[in-house]
Amino acid sequence: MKRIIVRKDSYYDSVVLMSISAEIKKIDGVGEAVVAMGTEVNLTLIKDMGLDSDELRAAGPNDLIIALEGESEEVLISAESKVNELLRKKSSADGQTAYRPTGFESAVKVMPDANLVIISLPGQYAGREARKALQVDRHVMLFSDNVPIETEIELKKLAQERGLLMMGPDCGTAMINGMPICFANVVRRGAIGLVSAAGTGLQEVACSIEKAGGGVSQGIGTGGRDLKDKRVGGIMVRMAVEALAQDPETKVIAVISKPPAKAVIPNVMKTFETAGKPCVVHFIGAESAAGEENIHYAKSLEETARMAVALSRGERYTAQEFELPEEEIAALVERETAGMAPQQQFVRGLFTGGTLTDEAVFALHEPLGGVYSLDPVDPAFELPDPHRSQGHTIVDLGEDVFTVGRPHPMIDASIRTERIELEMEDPEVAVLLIDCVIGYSSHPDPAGAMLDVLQAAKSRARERGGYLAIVGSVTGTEGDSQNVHDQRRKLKSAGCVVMPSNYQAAKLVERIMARRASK
Amino acid sequence: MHERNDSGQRSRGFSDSELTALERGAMVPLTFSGTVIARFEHAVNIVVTGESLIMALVTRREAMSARTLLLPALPHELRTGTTVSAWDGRARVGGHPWWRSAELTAVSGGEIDFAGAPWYYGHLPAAPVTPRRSAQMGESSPVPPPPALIAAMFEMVREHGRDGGLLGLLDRRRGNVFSTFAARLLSVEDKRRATTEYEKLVGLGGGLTPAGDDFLTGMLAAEEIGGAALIDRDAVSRRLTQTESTTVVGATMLRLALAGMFPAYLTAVGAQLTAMPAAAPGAERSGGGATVTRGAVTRATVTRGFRSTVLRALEYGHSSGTDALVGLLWGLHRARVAPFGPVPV
Repeated sequence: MKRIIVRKDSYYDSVVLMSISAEIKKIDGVGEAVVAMGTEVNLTLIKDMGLDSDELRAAGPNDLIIALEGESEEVLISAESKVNELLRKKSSADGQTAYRPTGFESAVKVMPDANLVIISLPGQYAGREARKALQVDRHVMLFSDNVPIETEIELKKLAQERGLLMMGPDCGTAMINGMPICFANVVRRGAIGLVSAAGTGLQEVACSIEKAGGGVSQGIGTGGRDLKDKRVGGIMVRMAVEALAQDPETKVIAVISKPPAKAVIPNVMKTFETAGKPCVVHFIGAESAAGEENIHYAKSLEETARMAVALSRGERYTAQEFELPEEEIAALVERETAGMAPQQQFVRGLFTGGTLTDEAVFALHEPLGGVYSLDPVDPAFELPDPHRSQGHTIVDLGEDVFTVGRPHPMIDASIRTERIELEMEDPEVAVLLIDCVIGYSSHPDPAGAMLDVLQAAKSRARERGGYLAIVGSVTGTEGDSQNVHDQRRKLKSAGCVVMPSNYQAAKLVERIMARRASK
Repeated sequence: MHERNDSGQRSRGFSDSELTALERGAMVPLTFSGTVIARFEHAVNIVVTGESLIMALVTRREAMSARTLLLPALPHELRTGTTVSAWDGRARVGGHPWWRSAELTAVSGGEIDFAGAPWYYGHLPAAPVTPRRSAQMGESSPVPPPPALIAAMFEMVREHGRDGGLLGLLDRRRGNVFSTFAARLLSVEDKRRATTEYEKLVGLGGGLTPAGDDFLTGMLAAEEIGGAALIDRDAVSRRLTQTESTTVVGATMLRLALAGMFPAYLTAVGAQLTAMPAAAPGAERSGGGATVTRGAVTRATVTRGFRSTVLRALEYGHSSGTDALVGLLWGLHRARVAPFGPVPV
């Protein structure tokens, strides 16, 4: 038996139409099912199947035709009912049909007990939704960027009045009550409370804490402008520190940010001083300063973690540049520089994490005599063409200029592999410096996705009679689905020197380049 | 739109009521009026009054075409049936707020500014012409893509291509009613005529862009990058003038392809193909058909540089990307450029 369903002037996503076709064919007793627009050739095809009707003859290319063959009337009724159900659902792009609230109010109805709202909308809408959430006493994590500064200030003041967290805008990572949110890692709970302006900074510190045997009580993101822009004035950093000061689980507070605006420093420092708990502070790229007894300055993300763990245990922290013994570092440097050709003289850093990029740029700018970047230490080293490296260059491939219409490189590895393909053709490249960030929301196998291209880059340098050193680190833990050890192993298999942290990777590159220059 | 950041520099972002297009298709008129005929997660289709073509607003670069505006976000509530008008590069919905809804009413009088957006043409990169080849042919003639690369793409399409369209033309096990119909049509025509009436594929298949249209777009792309001219372009054009022949979306894509303008996911594949010079005559090829050991094409570049672009293209739409690449391969094969075969028709 046969049946034709015609929906006049119906435009459905191809994915919906194909999924309908596939679902209908699964029904027992359905022979053939054609779901197509009523174009001339499709109508001919359907007629060739022995299906015809006045309705079909009247159909045009903008009408949806569903032609069914079934072994009984009951089967056809069932199939037609299924078609109508599927068309109503208008399945999402991946064919899933999970319920999606259409706005904040309906989301609250679905989960009335939720006390934290994550907002990821275009910047112009995000502020309004965040305001709604704060007004009904929900904490907010604002993933969106491009939120006007005035909106950020207004939201943070509102949050402050109501005693709520307003994390963001542009907050990609948080760890609240042991729950990793957005881009975050599986880290044991413990005595260290983190406050961080940015995502991968928080991830690197949290993972280093886990590695050093410590744990995280809370990880609070604040957004990059909180301390850096005097108009925001560090409202959320201060609130977060105050909250952690009152949190009985938190014994040590660690704060990570780019250097604050000068006008903000007195208030922020006062908050640290009065926290009543040891505070480890790392302002990326800033010189350490003398402070009150309870304030400890760290010079890297990794050191922030190690210092905090030591303090949480009541131990004395001893600074060390490398975990490996100095002889092994020296041997590594010799090995990585031995085969380099004379023209190989530049470092190319291709990062997916913004804070990891900053850390590398600050670590290497001075030793290398200047590093080009999109956010350079010295404005004279602003990279003119983001897509083309020059001299020593370190770029954050997560910057907007690289991701328009594409997912972030922590999700879509191809942005970086394509850039490596470009760099490998440059005979002047001596060292490739990379990060590898794993955890929730990240690529399921970022190291694996780079293997081919890293090996190819090595081969290309060999073909030219040189040697390409590849140095990197993995930000992640054993608990992450990608597993930090697996990722390290994969990178090593491609000839990459995998250092224990991003900072150590950058420092090793400094040594390699110094040795390279001395030859 | 752009706004000034703290340091006074322009940065991409949103103001309260305006979006600025990131790219503008070269065939998007500055002044038009039209009606939204469909809204999807990442695209809005608008039929322009007085033309039987669509214009689209998209948020994904791979969906960019010469009749498309690339936006940082889609207006929240641009619904089917809404009237859209543009004057001198600024578009808005009738006289009403664009994306007003019960729950999101922050924006009123919203507009899209697309006058200053960089243009997207969708031309495929010119294939390289070697002096030797040029001397042989007596004129500039495109060098076809390296056979090893095409063979690699053929395997990738068979392995990763999506069912539902015309993949069955390359792999009979993946066939369906549409590919069976197409295969029958093509094989019969091949036997009877010197040239195949490819135009009969216009409008064939499921989806808002029928698979046949995607296939023909891929074939036209093959012609641009070194394949022979197999398609009777006038016949396809005539077919498109018949309003019943295909959907308005399919017709728009094909008309652009006939004018040498292709969607971004396909130009990306074309760029990869033409960036790799063909192996010199006598070049060694090693096992698997995917390795050329001379010239710039190495196994690594075949499997890596090409791979991500082809995979992204295969993921475009439901089967649109797959069908376009099937057409591209078909065109190269019929032009006797491609080394694979026999094609199971």
